Amino acid sequence: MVRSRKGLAGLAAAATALALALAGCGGGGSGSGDGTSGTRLSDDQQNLTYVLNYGCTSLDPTENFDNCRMQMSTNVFDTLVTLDSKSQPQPKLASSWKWTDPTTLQFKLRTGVTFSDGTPFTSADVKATFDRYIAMKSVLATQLAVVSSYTADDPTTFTIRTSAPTGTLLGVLSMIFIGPEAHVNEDSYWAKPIGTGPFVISDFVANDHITLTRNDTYWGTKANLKTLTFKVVTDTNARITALANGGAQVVAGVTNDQVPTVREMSDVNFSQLPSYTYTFLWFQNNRAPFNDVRVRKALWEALDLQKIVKALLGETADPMTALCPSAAFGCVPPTNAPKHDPENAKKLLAEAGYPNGFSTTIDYSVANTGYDQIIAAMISDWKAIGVTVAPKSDDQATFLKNIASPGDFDMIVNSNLTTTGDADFTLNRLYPCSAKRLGYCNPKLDALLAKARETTDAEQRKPLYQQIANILAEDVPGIGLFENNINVAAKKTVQGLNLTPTENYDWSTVYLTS
Amino acid sequence: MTATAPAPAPAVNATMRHARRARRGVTVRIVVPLVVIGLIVVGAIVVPLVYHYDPLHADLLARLKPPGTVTSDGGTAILGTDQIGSDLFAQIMAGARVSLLVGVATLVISGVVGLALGLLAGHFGGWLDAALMRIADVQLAFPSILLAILVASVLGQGVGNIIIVLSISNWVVFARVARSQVLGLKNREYVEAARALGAGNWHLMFRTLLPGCMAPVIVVATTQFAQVILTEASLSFLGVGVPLGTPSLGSTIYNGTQYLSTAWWISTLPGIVLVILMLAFGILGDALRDKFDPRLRSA
Repeated sequence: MVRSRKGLAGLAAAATALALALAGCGGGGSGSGDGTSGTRLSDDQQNLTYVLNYGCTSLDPTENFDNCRMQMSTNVFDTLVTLDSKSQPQPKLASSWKWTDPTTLQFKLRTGVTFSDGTPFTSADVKATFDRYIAMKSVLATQLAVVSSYTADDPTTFTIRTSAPTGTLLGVLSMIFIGPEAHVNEDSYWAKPIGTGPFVISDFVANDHITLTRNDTYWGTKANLKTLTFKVVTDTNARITALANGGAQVVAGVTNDQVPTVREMSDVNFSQLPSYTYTFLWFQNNRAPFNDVRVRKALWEALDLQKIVKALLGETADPMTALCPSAAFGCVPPTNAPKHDPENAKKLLAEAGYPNGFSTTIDYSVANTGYDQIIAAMISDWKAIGVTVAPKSDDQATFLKNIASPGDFDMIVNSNLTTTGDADFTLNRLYPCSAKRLGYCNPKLDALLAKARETTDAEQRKPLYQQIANILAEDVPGIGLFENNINVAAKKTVQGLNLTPTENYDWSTVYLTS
Repeated sequence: MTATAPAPAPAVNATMRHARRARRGVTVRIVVPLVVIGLIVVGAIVVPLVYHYDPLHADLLARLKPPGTVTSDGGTAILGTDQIGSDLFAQIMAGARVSLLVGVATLVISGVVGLALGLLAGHFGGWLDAALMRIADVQLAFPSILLAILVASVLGQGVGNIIIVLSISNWVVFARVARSQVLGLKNREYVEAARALGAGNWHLMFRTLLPGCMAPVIVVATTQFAQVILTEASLSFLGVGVPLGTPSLGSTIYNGTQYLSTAWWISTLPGIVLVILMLAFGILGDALRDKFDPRLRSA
């Protein structure tokens, strides 16, 4: 059904292939034999440490969608379907599916699958997991709002009914991690969850590390790694040091200033590809002075994003004008995006009744390394039009509280992921009136978003998303700042790693050589 | 001290000479640090004004430039520029300003509170003494940087909060020094005399005992000053100190650590300034102690 996202996803796939060719990663895929360099290490030595790009506060993917939870969940849980490198749905826990009518989707579930504690997997587990995601009223709430009912017809059949035809449903289902019926609705279970995936959590220390070990009873191809550690290292120097001294084999989020250092390391491959991760700024649209669109537009026009991004992020990111990353389907740049024009910005402020500017604040999380420089550069640009902005660096917990609905901030900067690789995921989750994230509401936009979601033909969806992008550029609820590239440095001994634009990697195919 | 003293008369002369030299040494050790500190204080006040320094002003084309670079507007960044292109010299001096402000304010607050509590404890003794000194012991048993981090994370960032945090962890030293001094003084004749003449507690504490406490307290203050500045730098280095937009020596050093291999000057130069400031206060404190030392005073 989801025959969409052709062009750009194809580009991403090509980039992945290129990155892998450059990285000499042996082409991915399990059981593809030894790589080009060195012999495969013995099983006892198959221990890999990956330094994550972001912090790790909790393991519950039903509550929030940060990179850490998704990374862990991708390897510990299975989903009904999975998206391949072309964003096409492929069977996982569901062996097949069909739309029995335009609003009814029926899954046939795989048999012989057990959770890592030995409990068999049935349709009751899927149903309980759906209960959890819907009860949490959290990350997937707007996506799942179209689901009118779901039933476990028999142990291997699961049926979803939607209130309207929904082209993006399978993409959403690729993010629902199936937990065991008995525990999935208990908060305590999520402190150390178990799933049906290729790895099992053996240890978790918040904001420090997650250690996974191989699930030897996994139903599919078993993982090559014996242990896999996701490590949180906030100090950017320490990350590279870890790579140099063997403390880690793969490091995500290499910063622009470190790229030359990493390139000089002879035993390290550095790979880049466009990702679904992007960084944006939100205004609190119902709080003065941001309730005036002229003020929001002025603040956008004051920013010289081309210069800021090029100077501070170089090749690790690209400036953007849309509110979701161009690697994802439907994330087209608006044709009416404001240009860098401080003079006009001053004029707009004067029209809005702030000829002498005003003072405000901008929130950001200390967990996001490198933000302070970007914030300082933006503040500098705003100062040029008379707006004084005080930076507020919040610890991660405070930050998440401030950015959560209904949004307690004047301006806030955050990074985000268009997980499904489809504009619907980001735009329809954050910007409809019902989302209540940044005090923005435009019924015209809501109607277009709903229409774009219901349309199943990619060619018809594209012009809809162009209209949506233009409305967002007109209303300026927020500003898309830049789209991040994936900047991963890996030891040349790491084989079989498939980098994906979602930054959630399947580590079961990875192995180490000498 | 009297290693070369063969005959009694020259021995006296040698001792006198030695003492005089020691006194001269003390003077030098007081004057030089004072000059250095004075220069830094003047620099901290004047330089950011002369440079029109704005900590949040970014000049992205001029970032990470080495010392001596001529900038696009014709000026020379004598100590180079930092990661957002602001002048490092101005930033170091603005940082010294914050460090000195924090140091002075903390010493005034913790000194006054510590001195008052120390006087109370020493003068009245009994349960008040026991209670105050046990609180002090409890606090001393707790690592001060850990306490500072704890309080800082509760109060949040900001220069005012840092001063509060550091005052909380520093009053103890003053209280203990003042108390021990009072215990030594309160049975001296002049104090007895004042008491016999009917002086009240207030008069005894602040007119007779306090002046006798001042010398050691001033010495402690100089060493504590260095300690406070260093703790502020550590807190900023750990990210619980001053917020973005308030440069301190510690935060500048911390920001530069990312660039140690490519732009060494960002961390190194403020580090050197911090070391010089520490040394100056350390030597000054040491010299003051020698100056107040009665064994040298007689010469």
